[in-house]
Amino acid sequence: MKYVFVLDESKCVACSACAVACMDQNDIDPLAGDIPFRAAFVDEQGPVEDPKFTFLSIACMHCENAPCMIACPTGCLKKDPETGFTVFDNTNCIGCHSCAMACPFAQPCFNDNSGKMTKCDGCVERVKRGMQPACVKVCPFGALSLVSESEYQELMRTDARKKISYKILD
Amino acid sequence: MTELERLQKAKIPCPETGIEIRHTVCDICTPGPQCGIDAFIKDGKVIKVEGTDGFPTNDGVLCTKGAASRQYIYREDRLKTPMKRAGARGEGRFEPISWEDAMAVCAEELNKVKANHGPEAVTFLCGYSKWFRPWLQRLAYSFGSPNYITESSTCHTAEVMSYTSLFGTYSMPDLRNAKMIMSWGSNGVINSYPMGRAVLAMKAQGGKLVVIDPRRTHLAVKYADLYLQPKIGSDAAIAHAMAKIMIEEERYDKAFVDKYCYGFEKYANYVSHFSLSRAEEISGVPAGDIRKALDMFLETDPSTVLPGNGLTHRINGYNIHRAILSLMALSGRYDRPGTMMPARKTLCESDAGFDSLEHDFYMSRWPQNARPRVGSERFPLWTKLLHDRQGQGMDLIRHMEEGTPYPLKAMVCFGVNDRMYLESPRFLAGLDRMDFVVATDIFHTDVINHADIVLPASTSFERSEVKCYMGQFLYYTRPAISPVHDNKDDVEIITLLANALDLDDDLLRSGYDKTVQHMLSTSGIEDWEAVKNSPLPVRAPNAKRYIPGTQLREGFKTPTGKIELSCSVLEEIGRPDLDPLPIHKSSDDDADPAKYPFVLMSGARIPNAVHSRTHNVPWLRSLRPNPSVDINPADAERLGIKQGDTVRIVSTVSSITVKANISSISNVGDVNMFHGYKEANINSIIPVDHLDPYTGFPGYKQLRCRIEKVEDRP
Repeated sequence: MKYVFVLDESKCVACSACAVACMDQNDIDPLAGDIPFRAAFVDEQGPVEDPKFTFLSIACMHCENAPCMIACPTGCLKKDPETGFTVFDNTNCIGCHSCAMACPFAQPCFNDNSGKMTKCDGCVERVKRGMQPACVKVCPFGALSLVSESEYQELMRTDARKKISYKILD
Repeated sequence: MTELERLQKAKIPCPETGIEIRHTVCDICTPGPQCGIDAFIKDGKVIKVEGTDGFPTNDGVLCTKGAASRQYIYREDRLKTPMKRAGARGEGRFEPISWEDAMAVCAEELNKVKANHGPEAVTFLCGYSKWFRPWLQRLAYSFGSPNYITESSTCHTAEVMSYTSLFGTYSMPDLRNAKMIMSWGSNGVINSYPMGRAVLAMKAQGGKLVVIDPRRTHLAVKYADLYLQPKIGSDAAIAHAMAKIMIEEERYDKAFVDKYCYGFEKYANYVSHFSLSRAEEISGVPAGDIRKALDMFLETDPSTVLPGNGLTHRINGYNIHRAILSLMALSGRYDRPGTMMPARKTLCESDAGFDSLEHDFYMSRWPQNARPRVGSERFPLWTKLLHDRQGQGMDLIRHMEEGTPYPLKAMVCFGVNDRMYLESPRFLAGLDRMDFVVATDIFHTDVINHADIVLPASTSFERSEVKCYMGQFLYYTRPAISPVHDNKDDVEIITLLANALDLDDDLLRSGYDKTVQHMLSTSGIEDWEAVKNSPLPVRAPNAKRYIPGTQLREGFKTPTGKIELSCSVLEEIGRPDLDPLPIHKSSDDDADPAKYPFVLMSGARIPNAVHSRTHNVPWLRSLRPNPSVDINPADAERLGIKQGDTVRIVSTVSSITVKANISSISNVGDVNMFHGYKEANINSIIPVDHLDPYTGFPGYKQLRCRIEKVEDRP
């Protein structure tokens, strides 16, 4: 079954619990300058009298035709056939950053001193064993979820129907 | 990678990896909403944590701080062994000492102070965590000292006083059944996510949310149907204007008020002076918005206000909080589902559905003939209103410095944080005046450096304890791991002290299990081993659901037996500066606004911190590495300050240097600063006497200050 990470923006307050769970799961050491594979943001835009705030949690989108995979000259990245996650084996990584430059979300990172790429693997081993990814599991407001591709399609259809009905009502 | 390596890297609990899950609780924040934790254990060490599925408070999830539990319990600055001071006070030089020797020194020194200066000269002071409070209180009283003081002198107690003076008991909004919530100075989604989740659940079911907050909070910008942004400290004027409308337009619950309220005439007369236009002038909130908020509150039933703790952190904070609660009384919204409900306590501020012997456990040892406890003369309302007889710690610095009405000579500290005290360096200097200081803590804090004997405490992961949860649950945890160092849990340490001091108190000397089972002997539980062995919380046989309306039927535990819109205890005290009515009054200090044009608000929560407890946890600190002050973009532009610039916050007392965070979370003219940083301790710049005369609470959230740009040297 292929999976999709979904962020329900209406529930996210950018508290970063997801980022901390990621650090715990993946033994990330910020003191060494390392960063988690998921991060939360507050964005503030617009006039001072009436600013607009956006709260987001961002990680690898596990794209279908992943640009990072195409960009990598040494074939470190691949799609996991079971989950559809973009996973990696950085044994042959030459640290060229091509993947990071190709990624529209700047996700691949070069954490430890080895200079090799690491990234979110969707907690693939957990998911294969029926567990949730660490970031999804921790989220105090249920903003993050991991759904199957068919569930995702259904979500999108419902969402589209809602938008249309609002338009009609307007 | 082999299959086993993959499993190990992913920390999958299974026989192949040898990783097992043990249950415990997170004890990083308050004793209230503590959350169940699944600790992933490998070779006796925690390698990961998750929330426990099905647990009453958190049901599988965790907050930002709780998710960092692993780094918290393995913080490098944990105290590793008992120590005695080797250098000068404050120098931080120590040498290891055995537990036996440490106890012998404590007993000798404390008994010496008792013999020479009386037992009152020894103060028993409690900070974080809080789970051992009843034991420390009994230790103080059995020793003969009335001076049991907690950091709730700055945190929760003013709220309790406000609720108690109106309703006779601590109360809580019933968020789960409310159809409309007026969240007043509370950012639930960040400061207590179980509360935030309840607010959002109400919204999801079609309920309406009004947010009144001087800060443009997450709750305000994202979830409010109506947001009011008052000037800091103007809240009572808004509440009074609402009350005036309710009374004059006869929209208040007359039958309820006639039957259950005391002081209505006086109160009604007072609030009649608060027209909408006057409230607008004082608060800066458009009159129309105040009326709209009131309409939403009254047109939905049940509805409730959700008053934030921070409201009490102004020098007129007690009155502000009471003014807001008065709206609940006026609208007849008390003691029925979805409104304000009386709160019950079983153990450590939390409820398991039955009355325990906790209060009796310490009060039975109250030293009858002792000299008055710290702060009791300066803050008479505190003294008269509180049933648990703590001292008011905000008078401690004065008491230590002046030595009146009697000198303080020794301090027994448990988890004490000097940075919660105003002009904090004076607190540490006060410690240095003591003949003897013993300090227990999980971590090597500032206070530790000023102690003679240091005792290392354990975290919730390393101990066994009973926790109570709403829904009549009771949970007896077992240690998930062995002590990380040569540390003991706080109650074990209190038991050792009680024995070393040779106190005439066999119960306290018998240790945690016997004392907690004594306090909870009213639970109906007979087989405590079975409770201990249960992996999840259990229900006590004697636990009963509270039946709404019981309080109304049985009468209120106030002196008049009614809800007091005018506080009869204050009428009796009769001090001219303490008004029985919840009056509006400026909470400003008298600093010159021309020199100090900004209003500082400190202590409002950020997601990754609770007081000073998590500033040294790298995962959490990495989310907001620099102590930063939130400045409105308009003010920043005017002062030529850009994001990340170094700025100085200057008060009449002192200054600190921090980074600027440009955000309209701060209103124009206000600045916000989180507290508890060692290198930028905001409370060090708040004058020591900037206190609410009713409660003694510090005015953390309203102080005049100035912002200066600091040119970074290249």
